[in-house]
Amino acid sequence: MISNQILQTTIEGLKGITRIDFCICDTEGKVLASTFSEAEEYENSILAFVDSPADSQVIQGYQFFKVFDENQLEYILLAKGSNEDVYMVGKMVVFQIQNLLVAYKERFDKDNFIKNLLLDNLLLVDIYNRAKKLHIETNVKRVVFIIETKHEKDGSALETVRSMFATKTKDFVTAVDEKNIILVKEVKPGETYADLEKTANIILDMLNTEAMSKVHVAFGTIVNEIKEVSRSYKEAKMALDVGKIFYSGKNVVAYSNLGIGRLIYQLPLPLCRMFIKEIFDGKSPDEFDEETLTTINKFFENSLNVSETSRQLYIHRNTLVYRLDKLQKSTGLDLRVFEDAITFKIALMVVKYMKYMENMDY
Amino acid sequence: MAGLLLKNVAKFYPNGVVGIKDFSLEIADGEFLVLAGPMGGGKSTLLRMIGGLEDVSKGDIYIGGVRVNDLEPRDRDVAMIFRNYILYPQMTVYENLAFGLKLTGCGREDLHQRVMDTAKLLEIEDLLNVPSEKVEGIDRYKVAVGRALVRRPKVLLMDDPMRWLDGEMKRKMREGLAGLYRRLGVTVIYVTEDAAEAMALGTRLAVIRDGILEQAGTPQEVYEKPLNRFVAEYFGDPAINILDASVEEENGRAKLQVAGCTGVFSQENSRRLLAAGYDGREITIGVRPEDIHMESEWVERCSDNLVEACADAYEASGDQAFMTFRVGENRLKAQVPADAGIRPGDGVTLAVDPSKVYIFDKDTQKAI
Repeated sequence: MISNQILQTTIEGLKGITRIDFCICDTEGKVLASTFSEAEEYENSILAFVDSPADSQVIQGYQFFKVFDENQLEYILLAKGSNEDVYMVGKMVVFQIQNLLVAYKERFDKDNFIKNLLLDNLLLVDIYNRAKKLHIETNVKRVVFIIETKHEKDGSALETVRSMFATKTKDFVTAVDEKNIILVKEVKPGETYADLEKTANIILDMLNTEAMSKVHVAFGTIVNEIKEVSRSYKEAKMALDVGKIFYSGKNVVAYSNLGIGRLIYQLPLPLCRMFIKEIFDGKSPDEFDEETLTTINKFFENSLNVSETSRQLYIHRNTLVYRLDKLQKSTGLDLRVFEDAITFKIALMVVKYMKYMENMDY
Repeated sequence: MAGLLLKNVAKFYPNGVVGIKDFSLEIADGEFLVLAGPMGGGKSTLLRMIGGLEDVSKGDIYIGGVRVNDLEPRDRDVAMIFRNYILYPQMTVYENLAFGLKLTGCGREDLHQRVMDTAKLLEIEDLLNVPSEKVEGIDRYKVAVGRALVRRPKVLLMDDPMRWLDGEMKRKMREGLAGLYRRLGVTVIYVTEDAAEAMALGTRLAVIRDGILEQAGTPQEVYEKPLNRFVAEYFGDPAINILDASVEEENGRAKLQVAGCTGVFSQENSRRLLAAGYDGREITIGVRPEDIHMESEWVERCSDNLVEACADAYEASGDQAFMTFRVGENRLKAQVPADAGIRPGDGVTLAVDPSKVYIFDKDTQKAI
């Protein structure tokens, strides 16, 4: 059903043009939207009008109209005034609301279609048939963005994303659960992953500014056909998860940039446990103190460069060498050696993944 | 308006990375504080923590005397402007301004009043009924700023909003923002990597690197009294000249050996160096290009601090120019008059004002 807010906006807009007051009520006389304050007083008149066979009627200085949706009485419209002009304007408003109902239903159908498409609930033949019926192009490039909000049912965030994209009829905004808003966006010719990253950042910044919501944005790869949209959706979903595990400082994550984290995310947990046991002999590499962790992270950040790392940590080169030697003694891995460094890096990531998955189990 | 207090604020990420380290700062009511520093230093993280978009791992944030650590962003009385923004394409300027307020459930009359007031403040009243797609250039930016201001926040948080603007547009917007700040009287916290922008806008600067507050002070303070080499190098274009030097005491005064030349320190620097035991030790010195002179009156005045140099490269910049000189193996950049008539290869005597020489410890890089 069309939201009361949209009905209100519509009649306010029409009042702005025609200078006539309007009120829209449901068939039980309840006011849904109105541009004047005394609308509640007409409840009994509305109920009587609903029962009458007339499509329009003048009662107590107001033109009453019935608004049908496929022969089903949906709303009663009141237009202030009883002259011919008011009658004509009232008829136009009824026409406008009926068209809104049609547009809403079409959008709802599209929304349903996109949801089922994302969730792989459609047969291949149905995808193309329904897309054709709904005037959705099948052979354009698309990408799926997932916007995860901190709070469930964040209406402000959904409304903001809709306002940013939904009017472009080739983009679709929907939701398949309470916390995630999904944007299926058409990719224009020449648009690259860097552009998509920019779009993701715009979404993030706009939601931070307008809805003041903490959000994470992830997106999948570009797909060429409508039947592949669900793949882009799954990738975006994975990017969101992998981002939470390995790139927790990032608010925008692209599937195409997940790197080694994507591989680790798909490892079975028993294999991970075996790997960690073999490498660290049962010890957990994430139990290092803050100083050691900072040293390791800075050393990796600076591509194993001792001088640069010691400079950035404000410590003497020898202090860094001492810390690395100490780490080598406790783990058997010398981070200055590329092979050991990569083993260590992977091991840290595997431990992070295991922890995340274990917490998920609870 | 409201003042802010950041008390031992820290941000740790689950992967062990430390975003912000033990950061404490008081921001006065109505102040325009610029968080300046290199990329990845934690400026935006700190701003997002103030706005409630990042959790605070340790410490406390107070806005207007109220601890806001556990408050949602929308309950903190702040508004945010980021570097990426678009206008809602299908809406007019009025609707763009009103959109955020509508989401908060603001009443119709109040909303209208706020939109009108904001439009007046930003001088975009004429555009209110224009579809946003037809709004261009600086006006688009004003509308984006207006969407934040319409909330009437106590604190306005701006995360490098001019990053994507080009030279002329940036200059105009910088002027516009400075004027707007004076009219608004609101507390502003502004993030930028651009040192010149920070200097131009802020009533006070907080320089951040690697999540650590390096220095806080007025633009003049951080430029003229940098607490360490990093701050000295960060502000100033062209950057300060940095040279290795050694200190030797002679008749109770510290003398300087640098690039094969001998010079003297100012009385104050000399006293500091000797008191701190730098006699016979290596230090780092910094001299800004505008404090190296070649005019005869300066050569006379600074006769103890003369450097024989060879002109190397010339960069014109309007009525001033910058010349790079070779001094032994070192390079010195100096600001020279555009009509100085020096050509690369010419030998020149340069005078350095000893009172404008910055001295830093070679290991800690802190100002002595």
